[in-house]
Amino acid sequence: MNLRLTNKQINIIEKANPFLIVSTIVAFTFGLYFSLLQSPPDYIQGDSMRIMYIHVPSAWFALMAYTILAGSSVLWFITRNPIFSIIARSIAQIGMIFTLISLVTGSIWGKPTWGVWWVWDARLTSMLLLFFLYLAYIFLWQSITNKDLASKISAALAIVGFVNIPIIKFSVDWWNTLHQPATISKLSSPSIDISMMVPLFIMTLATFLFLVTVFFIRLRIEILDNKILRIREVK
Amino acid sequence: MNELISMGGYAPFIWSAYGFFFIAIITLFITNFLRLKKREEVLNKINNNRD
Repeated sequence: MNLRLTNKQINIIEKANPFLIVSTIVAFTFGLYFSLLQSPPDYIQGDSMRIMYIHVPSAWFALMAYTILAGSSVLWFITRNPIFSIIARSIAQIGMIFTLISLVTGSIWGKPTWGVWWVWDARLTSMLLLFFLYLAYIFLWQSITNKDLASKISAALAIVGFVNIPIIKFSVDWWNTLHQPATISKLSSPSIDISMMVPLFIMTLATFLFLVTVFFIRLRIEILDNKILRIREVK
Repeated sequence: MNELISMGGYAPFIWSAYGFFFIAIITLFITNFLRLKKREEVLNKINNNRD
């Protein structure tokens, strides 16, 4: 199985790690300072609103990771280049963890805000479905021993499951949900103050750097697995 | 300092949410980092055996 990755590309993935780890730690330090100390409490929700600074980036990257998962699955079907299957597998576990974080932190935020830990409204339910889609993807890949078949079935699941992404995004507009509608992604006029936008931006950057760090580590694991497999095949 | 800890009465919610966030991402990082080191060891062993 030829990965069609140049040595230069593999080198960049290997060398980037220490730089990424340090940048992630620095960004989180600044992010925590701004989100816990510098930003003011919300005039309605008080300090509980600070959960937003970890909840929102996690939810964004949970959706972004699934988009990459589905996109690389489509590219794998078209090109059959194993690198797309590797990208999909590398991002799946990260996406699952961010979905779990967004569900748990959302639930903790929900209790003081709505008075309940959980409601079966459209946004929360579709996010839970996303978690199960990630879980099913990982389970399918691991449980099918014929890896060619596993690639096909898991990629098909990832593509079919993509229908859930616009449902999550627009659920707050299409249905009457307890979850609040978009406040930041309305590019024309975001309804969030700059004092809250700054910590959110830094925490989003930190979370993104973390995601890239772990993604590169996972890519290296998959590349090494591939090397080990090839050596054993030759033997 | 007390203000930071009490978080306007929302301390249990805020600290448990932030705690979960960091425990989850640190666990994700460490488990994958250890897996990578294990793979590198296996590959080194195979290469040494070939030499």
